[in-house]
Amino acid sequence: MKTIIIGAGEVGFHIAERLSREGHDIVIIERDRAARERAAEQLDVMTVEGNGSSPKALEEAGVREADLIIAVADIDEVNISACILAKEYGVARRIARVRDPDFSENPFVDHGRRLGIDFLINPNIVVADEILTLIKTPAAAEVGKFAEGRVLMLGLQIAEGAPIVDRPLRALRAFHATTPFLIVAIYRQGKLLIPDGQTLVQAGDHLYFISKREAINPILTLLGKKESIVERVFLIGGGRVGLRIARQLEGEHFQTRLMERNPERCDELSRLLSRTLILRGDGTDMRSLIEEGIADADAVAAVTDDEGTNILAALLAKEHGARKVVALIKRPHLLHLLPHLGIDAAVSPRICTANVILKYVRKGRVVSIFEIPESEDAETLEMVVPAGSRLAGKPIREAGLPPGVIIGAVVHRDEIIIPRGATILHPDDRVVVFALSPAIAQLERLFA
Amino acid sequence: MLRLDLVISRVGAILVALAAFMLTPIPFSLYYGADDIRVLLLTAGLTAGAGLLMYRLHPGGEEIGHKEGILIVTLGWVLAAGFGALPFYLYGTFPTYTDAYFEAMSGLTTTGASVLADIEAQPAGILFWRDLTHWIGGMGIVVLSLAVLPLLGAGGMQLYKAEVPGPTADKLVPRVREMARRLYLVYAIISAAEVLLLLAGGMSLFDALTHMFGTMGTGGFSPRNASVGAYDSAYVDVVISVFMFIAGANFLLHYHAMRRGDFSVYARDEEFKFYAGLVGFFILTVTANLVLNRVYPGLLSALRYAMFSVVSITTTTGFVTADFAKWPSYAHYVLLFLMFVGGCAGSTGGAVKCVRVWLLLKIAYAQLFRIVHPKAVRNVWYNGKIVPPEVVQGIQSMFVLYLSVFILASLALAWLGQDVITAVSAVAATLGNIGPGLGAVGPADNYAHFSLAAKWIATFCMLVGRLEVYSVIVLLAPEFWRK
Repeated sequence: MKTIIIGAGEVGFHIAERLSREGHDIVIIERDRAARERAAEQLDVMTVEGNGSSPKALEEAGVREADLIIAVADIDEVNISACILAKEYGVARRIARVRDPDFSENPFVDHGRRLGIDFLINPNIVVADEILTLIKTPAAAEVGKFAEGRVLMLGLQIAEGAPIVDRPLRALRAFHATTPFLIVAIYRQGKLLIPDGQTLVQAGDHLYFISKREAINPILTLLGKKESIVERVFLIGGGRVGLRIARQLEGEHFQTRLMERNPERCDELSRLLSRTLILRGDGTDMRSLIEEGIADADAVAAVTDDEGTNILAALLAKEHGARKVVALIKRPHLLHLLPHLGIDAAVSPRICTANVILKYVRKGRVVSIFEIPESEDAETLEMVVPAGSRLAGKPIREAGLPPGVIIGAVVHRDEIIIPRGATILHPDDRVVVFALSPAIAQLERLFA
Repeated sequence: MLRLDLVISRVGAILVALAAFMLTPIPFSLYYGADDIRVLLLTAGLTAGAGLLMYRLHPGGEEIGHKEGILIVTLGWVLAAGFGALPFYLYGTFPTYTDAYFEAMSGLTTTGASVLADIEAQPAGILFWRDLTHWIGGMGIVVLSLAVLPLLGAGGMQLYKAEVPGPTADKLVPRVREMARRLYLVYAIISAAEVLLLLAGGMSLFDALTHMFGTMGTGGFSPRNASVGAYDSAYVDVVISVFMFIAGANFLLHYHAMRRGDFSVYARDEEFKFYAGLVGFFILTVTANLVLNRVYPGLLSALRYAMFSVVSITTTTGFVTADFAKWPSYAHYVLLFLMFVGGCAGSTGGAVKCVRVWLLLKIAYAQLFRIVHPKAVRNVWYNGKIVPPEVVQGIQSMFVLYLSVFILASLALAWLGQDVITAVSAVAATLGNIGPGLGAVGPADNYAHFSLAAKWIATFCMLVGRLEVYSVIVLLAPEFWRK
């Protein structure tokens, strides 16, 4: 597959890296020399100098032979023009990142289709949805949804004194019988481990498991977390992301308070939101936040434009007793640092956007993906067992899965099974698979 | 961070690819009834065995870092010559391993400097291997491994850049592996064309193949004691001249020309125009010089020998049809000067390369211009693009380093007792991967009389020249090894 990516920023670079590894032939168009050289140096891709919306650059990148274009340059208009042109050049699939909500919301534009865009991504919406999921799942640092949300993969930090600590995983067999779940990976001291029966869970581990949605609560108790009802939510920052989250929360009867610094924006917010309490002030102004009861908040999301403010506000809120704090982070490489500081979850618009794009690109074979955000080394995919595959009709343990691959859940007809070695896969079953990166290419061949 | 196990494993993979090539001389050994089959099988086995053992240190497909890439390439070349020397050593072609290593490094780096006195006394398989090293080393051992071994794909661009000559490395297609394959395909097609033309001129298949290896790799080993001069055929001279000229040009241009069937790519390329102009100018002036000094009886024969020698030296091939050491001093001096210029970037030729010489001239001119117009905006342009300052600096410092190595190595040879002309031209000819120099290492002589130390200095120069100074010299910097 020949793919053109416009923009070698965080999103473009990340997508290029993934897709190149999966067999796409990638050409990146980038105007900035430093970014272009970084991509040429570190990835097996070709780079073209130029503006992504210029026909000359597109032709130089081989747009006539391309099957897919992913426009993720910094400027909306560049991405839009690139897709309009690409459509005329005959590129079959066209993806664009457009930040201005006018384009994603206006019915005339029709989700970008009038502009030659098949799939329009607004990173603010993507990131708002992600934060919303985290707010509603207070125990988890990461949540991945599979099988229409009926299978969940959760990532969370194990605290001192949790029932699971210092017990080998095979001692959980009795618990498994009533509440099946699979621990697929443990992130410990900067390394990702695939656990087996002998593995001891330690306090401070970041643990990833897959289970059915209805089984989550007893599992969380085992892991030392209490799942409870979320009512009081604090939002810090009333920009596009904050507004979108507040609107969604209003529809679901949460008690929401939103703090915004800019007085004019506050007026606008109070016009746009009816049930949310708008507070005017700085997100790090703790006195007013305490007065408004941040200590009793079930969740605090710091979503201003400034990541420094977000980190500080989240830390202060945590210190004053907020149960779960989430921060919006611009630089993805800070993500792994934040759990150590005490921030429960962090979200990067770039990683979210890249994941959504990858999910769309892989559509057909792979239904849903969830990357473990802290590490480049693994991801979780939802795939369909093809008819006539050598996987079908055999117990999993005899299917010859590559090392570093764990099947975490199987959807057989309408039933969800958390599998064991003896579970048999059938054609058309959907499986949720956790895989270390080196095994992904092999895995995709098995499911092709 | 430098992962030595990863480096060693990738070098092992390169050796495995090399081992496969060690088997190719065997059909010729069989045909000519030579007694070197056992040695060839043994070395192929040893090389493959060592390569596999090294490979098993770190078999995963991890990406290679910048420093690791440099180390893999340099170490790969050092060891490829080490194993490539085994056929010569085990067969007894040379009394010492030093000589065998010199010959193998000379072959792989496409230098063509020899320590072998009586070439024709050697069996067919050994001679075939001696020339085949030119063909492999010309386009590059690492590029070859990239094309045939899947595991080198990750981070392959690092390896490609460290091996392929030229100040910048451009991509033809997104994947390095695919690019390596296409380059080798172009290389193979042009090689096949030359073999056919040489066969048409009455050469045996063995001679046609070995001379093609020497030409296309711009190497210069010939299985004949008198080099190409042995055939004394104007047809052979012209065919080989033309193909030396082709091999000294950028293979990316050949690729584009073949792919699009459009030969105007050559006319649009500044480096190619400079290269062609340079070769043309010196063919004419050397011919005139030879005619005026009545070295050859007629204009045509003067043209024939001048053309062959100018092309052979500029492309850094080093095939010989005339003893240019006996030519008048202008012709003599032109050849020494051309040893520094070399072929084009992305060619199989050595030395400084036309693109760098051309850009150095342009940079100097821009500097002159700025003295006259201090406020003028004056960038250095190359093929329609501004040359970025890092590339300018890279070219300037490569040139300085090249000259430094040249001066130090020639001083060392002089210390060891070589006369000035010999010391200077031997270093120019080995550092530039040409082969024959002047004086005691002239076209009619070879390097056999060098002392042990002098041979190692020359061997080192060949490696430094082939990998364009940086990849080797940087390993000598303590900074490289600092954690």
